[in-house]
Amino acid sequence: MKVFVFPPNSLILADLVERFGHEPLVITKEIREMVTTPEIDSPPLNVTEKELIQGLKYVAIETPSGIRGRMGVLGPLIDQAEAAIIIENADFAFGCSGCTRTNILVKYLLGQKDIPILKVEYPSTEENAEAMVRKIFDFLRNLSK
Amino acid sequence: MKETEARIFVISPNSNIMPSTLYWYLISQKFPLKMKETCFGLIVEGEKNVIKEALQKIREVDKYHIFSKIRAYPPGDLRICRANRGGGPRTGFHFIEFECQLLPLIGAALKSLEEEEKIVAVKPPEKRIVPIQVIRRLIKECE
Repeated sequence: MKVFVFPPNSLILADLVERFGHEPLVITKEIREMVTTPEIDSPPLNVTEKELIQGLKYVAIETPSGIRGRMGVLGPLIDQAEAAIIIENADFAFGCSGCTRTNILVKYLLGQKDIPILKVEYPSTEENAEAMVRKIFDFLRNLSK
Repeated sequence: MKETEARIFVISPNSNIMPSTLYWYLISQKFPLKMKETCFGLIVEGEKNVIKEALQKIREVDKYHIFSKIRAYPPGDLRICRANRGGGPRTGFHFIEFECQLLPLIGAALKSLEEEEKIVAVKPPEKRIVPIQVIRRLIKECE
Protein backbone atom coordinates (compact mmCIF):
# COMPACT_ATOMS: atom_id res chain seq x y z
CA MET A 1 0.00 0.00 0.00
CA LYS A 2 1.03 3.60 -0.55
CA VAL A 3 1.77 5.23 2.79
CA PHE A 4 2.17 9.00 3.06
CA VAL A 5 4.79 9.98 5.61
CA PHE A 6 4.99 13.27 7.46
CA PRO A 7 7.53 14.98 7.50
CA PRO A 8 7.51 14.10 3.78
CA ASN A 9 11.31 13.84 3.66
CA SER A 10 11.73 11.75 6.83
CA LEU A 11 14.52 9.19 6.66
CA ILE A 12 13.27 7.18 9.65
CA LEU A 13 9.67 6.86 8.46
CA ALA A 14 10.59 6.20 4.81
CA ASP A 15 12.99 3.46 5.89
CA LEU A 16 10.56 1.83 8.34
CA VAL A 17 7.67 1.84 5.85
CA GLU A 18 9.88 0.23 3.20
CA ARG A 19 11.31 -2.28 5.68
CA PHE A 20 7.81 -3.43 6.65
CA GLY A 21 6.85 -4.00 3.00
CA HIS A 22 4.93 -0.91 1.90
CA GLU A 23 5.64 1.96 -0.47
CA PRO A 24 6.47 5.27 1.23
CA LEU A 25 5.16 8.40 -0.53
CA VAL A 26 8.06 10.80 -0.09
CA ILE A 27 8.58 14.22 -1.60
CA THR A 28 12.11 13.38 -2.78
CA LYS A 29 10.74 10.90 -5.30
CA GLU A 30 8.58 13.61 -6.87
CA ILE A 31 11.38 16.16 -6.86
CA ARG A 32 13.71 13.64 -8.49
CA GLU A 33 11.36 13.25 -11.43
CA MET A 34 11.29 17.03 -11.84
CA VAL A 35 15.02 17.64 -11.63
CA THR A 36 16.04 14.76 -13.88
CA THR A 37 13.43 15.02 -16.64
CA PRO A 38 14.73 17.21 -19.52
CA GLU A 39 12.61 20.34 -19.93
CA ILE A 40 12.74 23.73 -21.52
CA ASP A 41 14.63 24.94 -18.43
CA SER A 42 18.19 23.74 -18.40
CA PRO A 43 18.98 22.40 -15.83
CA PRO A 44 15.37 21.46 -15.00
CA LEU A 45 13.91 23.22 -11.94
CA ASN A 46 12.39 21.58 -8.88
CA VAL A 47 9.27 23.78 -8.93
CA THR A 48 7.91 25.46 -12.05
CA GLU A 49 4.82 27.42 -13.05
CA LYS A 50 3.06 24.09 -13.64
CA GLU A 51 3.29 23.19 -9.93
CA LEU A 52 2.01 26.62 -8.90
CA ILE A 53 -1.07 26.10 -11.10
CA GLN A 54 -1.45 22.53 -9.81
CA GLY A 55 -1.34 23.92 -6.25
CA LEU A 56 -4.51 25.92 -6.92
CA LYS A 57 -6.48 22.69 -6.57
CA TYR A 58 -5.63 22.69 -2.86
CA VAL A 59 -5.30 26.35 -1.88
CA ALA A 60 -6.80 29.71 -2.81
CA ILE A 61 -5.24 32.04 -5.40
CA GLU A 62 -4.20 34.64 -2.81
CA THR A 63 -2.15 32.08 -0.85
CA PRO A 64 1.61 32.81 -0.83
CA SER A 65 3.47 31.16 -3.70
CA GLY A 66 5.60 29.17 -1.22
CA ILE A 67 2.56 27.27 0.05
CA ARG A 68 1.10 26.94 -3.43
CA GLY A 69 4.33 25.55 -4.86
CA ARG A 70 4.70 23.09 -2.00
CA MET A 71 1.07 21.99 -2.31
CA GLY A 72 1.60 21.51 -6.06
CA VAL A 73 4.10 18.79 -5.17
CA LEU A 74 2.57 17.46 -1.94
CA GLY A 75 -1.09 17.58 -3.04
CA PRO A 76 -0.87 14.77 -5.64
CA LEU A 77 0.97 12.65 -3.05
CA ILE A 78 -1.90 13.16 -0.57
CA ASP A 79 -4.37 12.19 -3.33
CA GLN A 80 -2.48 8.93 -3.90
CA ALA A 81 -2.18 8.10 -0.18
CA GLU A 82 -3.93 4.96 1.07
CA ALA A 83 -2.66 5.42 4.64
CA ALA A 84 -0.56 7.96 6.51
CA ILE A 85 1.96 8.13 9.33
CA ILE A 86 2.40 11.51 10.97
CA ILE A 87 5.10 12.55 13.42
CA GLU A 88 3.48 15.06 15.77
CA ASN A 89 6.54 16.75 17.25
CA ALA A 90 8.41 17.29 13.98
CA ASP A 91 9.65 20.77 14.80
CA PHE A 92 12.72 20.07 12.73
CA ALA A 93 10.86 19.84 9.44
CA PHE A 94 13.67 21.58 7.57
CA GLY A 95 14.20 21.93 3.86
CA CYS A 96 11.26 21.38 1.54
CA SER A 97 8.86 20.98 4.47
CA GLY A 98 10.06 23.98 6.45
CA CYS A 99 6.73 25.81 6.13
CA THR A 100 4.33 25.70 9.08
CA ARG A 101 1.22 26.73 7.10
CA THR A 102 1.83 24.02 4.50
CA ASN A 103 2.34 21.46 7.26
CA ILE A 104 -0.95 22.45 8.93
CA LEU A 105 -2.73 22.22 5.57
CA VAL A 106 -1.18 18.83 4.77
CA LYS A 107 -2.35 17.43 8.13
CA TYR A 108 -5.81 18.93 7.56
CA LEU A 109 -6.13 17.41 4.06
CA LEU A 110 -5.01 14.02 5.37
CA GLY A 111 -7.61 14.26 8.13
CA GLN A 112 -10.30 15.00 5.53
CA LYS A 113 -9.48 11.84 3.61
CA ASP A 114 -11.05 8.61 4.74
CA ILE A 115 -7.77 6.74 5.28
CA PRO A 116 -6.14 5.15 8.33
CA ILE A 117 -3.74 7.58 10.03
CA LEU A 118 -1.15 6.80 12.67
CA LYS A 119 0.20 9.61 14.84
CA VAL A 120 3.51 9.06 16.60
CA GLU A 121 6.22 11.20 18.20
CA TYR A 122 9.98 11.32 17.78
CA PRO A 123 11.46 9.14 20.53
CA SER A 124 13.68 10.52 23.29
CA THR A 125 14.38 7.27 25.16
CA GLU A 126 14.80 3.62 24.22
CA GLU A 127 11.36 2.76 25.61
CA ASN A 128 9.74 5.49 23.51
CA ALA A 129 11.59 4.26 20.43
CA GLU A 130 10.41 0.70 21.02
CA ALA A 131 6.83 1.87 21.44
CA MET A 132 7.06 3.98 18.26
CA VAL A 133 8.52 1.18 16.13
CA ARG A 134 6.00 -1.29 17.57
CA LYS A 135 3.08 1.04 16.75
CA ILE A 136 4.31 1.56 13.18
CA PHE A 137 4.90 -2.19 12.74
CA ASP A 138 1.40 -3.09 14.01
CA PHE A 139 -0.22 -0.33 11.93
CA LEU A 140 1.48 -1.44 8.71
CA ARG A 141 0.84 -5.13 9.41
CA ASN A 142 -2.87 -4.46 9.89
CA LEU A 143 -2.94 -2.54 6.60
CA SER A 144 -1.93 -5.63 4.65
CA LYS A 145 -4.79 -7.69 6.11
CA MET B 1 16.12 4.42 -21.06
CA LYS B 2 15.90 2.40 -17.86
CA GLU B 3 14.45 4.00 -14.74
CA THR B 4 17.10 5.21 -12.35
CA GLU B 5 17.00 6.05 -8.67
CA ALA B 6 19.24 7.89 -6.23
CA ARG B 7 19.46 6.83 -2.59
CA ILE B 8 21.07 7.98 0.60
CA PHE B 9 22.45 5.35 2.94
CA VAL B 10 22.83 6.79 6.41
CA ILE B 11 24.97 4.92 8.92
CA SER B 12 23.93 5.11 12.56
CA PRO B 13 26.48 6.88 14.82
CA ASN B 14 26.79 3.77 17.05
CA SER B 15 27.71 1.50 14.14
CA ASN B 16 31.18 0.01 13.67
CA ILE B 17 30.91 0.45 9.91
CA MET B 18 32.57 3.48 8.30
CA PRO B 19 31.20 5.08 5.11
CA SER B 20 34.41 4.06 3.32
CA THR B 21 33.92 0.41 4.39
CA LEU B 22 30.44 0.42 2.91
CA TYR B 23 31.75 2.12 -0.24
CA TRP B 24 34.44 -0.53 -0.76
CA TYR B 25 32.00 -3.31 0.08
CA LEU B 26 29.64 -2.18 -2.71
CA ILE B 27 32.57 -1.89 -5.12
CA SER B 28 33.67 -5.42 -4.20
CA GLN B 29 30.15 -6.69 -4.95
CA LYS B 30 30.54 -5.21 -8.49
CA PHE B 31 27.37 -3.18 -8.51
CA PRO B 32 27.25 -0.77 -11.49
CA LEU B 33 26.47 2.27 -9.33
CA LYS B 34 27.56 5.87 -9.23
CA MET B 35 28.61 6.46 -5.63
CA LYS B 36 29.68 9.31 -3.43
CA GLU B 37 31.05 8.88 0.08
CA THR B 38 29.81 11.44 2.58
CA CYS B 39 30.22 12.10 6.30
CA PHE B 40 26.95 10.31 7.17
CA GLY B 41 27.12 7.41 4.71
CA LEU B 42 26.78 7.09 0.97
CA ILE B 43 24.84 8.60 -1.89
CA VAL B 44 24.31 6.13 -4.72
CA GLU B 45 22.64 6.32 -8.09
CA GLY B 46 21.83 3.57 -10.54
CA GLU B 47 19.13 1.45 -12.09
CA LYS B 48 16.22 0.69 -9.77
CA ASN B 49 16.72 -3.09 -9.65
CA VAL B 50 20.46 -2.68 -9.00
CA ILE B 51 19.73 -0.29 -6.13
CA LYS B 52 17.25 -2.83 -4.73
CA GLU B 53 19.88 -5.58 -4.86
CA ALA B 54 22.44 -3.30 -3.22
CA LEU B 55 19.94 -2.44 -0.48
CA GLN B 56 19.36 -6.15 0.22
CA LYS B 57 23.12 -6.79 0.39
CA ILE B 58 23.57 -3.84 2.75
CA ARG B 59 20.75 -5.09 4.99
CA GLU B 60 22.54 -8.45 5.14
CA VAL B 61 25.70 -6.70 6.37
CA ASP B 62 24.03 -4.63 9.12
CA LYS B 63 20.29 -4.18 9.11
CA TYR B 64 19.99 -2.31 12.40
CA HIS B 65 22.50 0.43 11.73
CA ILE B 66 22.12 1.34 8.06
CA PHE B 67 19.03 3.26 6.98
CA SER B 68 18.08 4.51 3.53
CA LYS B 69 15.74 6.81 1.69
CA ILE B 70 15.27 8.05 -1.86
CA ARG B 71 17.20 11.18 -2.77
CA ALA B 72 15.99 13.81 -5.20
CA TYR B 73 19.22 15.04 -6.76
CA PRO B 74 21.91 12.82 -8.30
CA PRO B 75 25.22 12.58 -6.37
CA GLY B 76 27.49 15.56 -7.00
CA ASP B 77 24.74 17.64 -8.63
CA LEU B 78 26.00 21.18 -9.19
CA ARG B 79 22.69 22.74 -8.17
CA ILE B 80 22.98 21.66 -4.54
CA CYS B 81 26.65 20.72 -4.19
CA ARG B 82 28.05 23.02 -1.49
CA ALA B 83 31.32 23.46 -3.36
CA ASN B 84 29.38 25.51 -5.91
CA ARG B 85 27.24 27.33 -3.38
CA GLY B 86 30.12 28.98 -1.60
CA GLY B 87 30.21 26.66 1.40
CA GLY B 88 27.70 26.07 4.19
CA PRO B 89 25.65 22.94 4.74
CA ARG B 90 23.87 21.52 1.74
CA THR B 91 20.07 21.58 1.60
CA GLY B 92 18.49 18.88 3.73
CA PHE B 93 21.62 18.38 5.83
CA HIS B 94 20.11 19.65 9.11
CA PHE B 95 17.17 17.25 8.92
CA ILE B 96 19.41 14.26 8.25
CA GLU B 97 21.70 15.39 11.08
CA PHE B 98 18.72 15.54 13.46
CA GLU B 99 17.31 12.15 12.44
CA CYS B 100 20.78 10.60 12.41
CA GLN B 101 21.04 11.22 16.18
CA LEU B 102 17.87 9.13 16.69
CA LEU B 103 19.04 6.18 14.58
CA PRO B 104 20.72 4.29 17.48
CA LEU B 105 17.35 4.29 19.32
CA ILE B 106 15.46 3.13 16.22
CA GLY B 107 18.07 0.41 15.51
CA ALA B 108 17.79 -0.92 19.08
CA ALA B 109 13.98 -0.85 18.85
CA LEU B 110 14.06 -2.79 15.56
CA LYS B 111 16.33 -5.38 17.12
CA SER B 112 14.08 -5.90 20.14
CA LEU B 113 10.99 -5.99 17.89
CA GLU B 114 12.52 -8.74 15.76
CA GLU B 115 13.48 -10.74 18.85
CA GLU B 116 9.94 -10.39 20.23
CA GLU B 117 8.43 -11.50 16.92
CA LYS B 118 10.75 -14.51 16.83
CA ILE B 119 9.67 -15.50 20.36
CA VAL B 120 6.03 -15.21 19.35
CA ALA B 121 6.63 -17.27 16.21
CA VAL B 122 8.62 -20.00 17.97
CA LYS B 123 6.29 -20.25 21.02
CA PRO B 124 4.78 -23.79 21.08
CA PRO B 125 1.00 -24.13 21.04
CA GLU B 126 -0.60 -24.39 24.45
CA LYS B 127 -1.55 -27.91 25.55
CA ARG B 128 -5.26 -28.05 26.07
CA ILE B 129 -5.81 -31.54 27.35
CA VAL B 130 -8.93 -31.87 29.47
CA PRO B 131 -8.13 -33.79 32.67
CA ILE B 132 -9.84 -37.16 33.05
CA GLN B 133 -11.49 -36.07 36.32
CA VAL B 134 -13.32 -33.30 34.50
CA ILE B 135 -14.53 -35.68 31.79
CA ARG B 136 -15.78 -38.14 34.42
CA ARG B 137 -17.60 -35.37 36.26
CA LEU B 138 -19.24 -34.18 33.01
CA ILE B 139 -20.38 -37.72 32.19
CA LYS B 140 -21.86 -38.11 35.67
CA GLU B 141 -23.67 -34.82 35.34
CA CYS B 142 -25.17 -35.87 31.99
CA GLU B 143 -26.41 -39.11 33.49
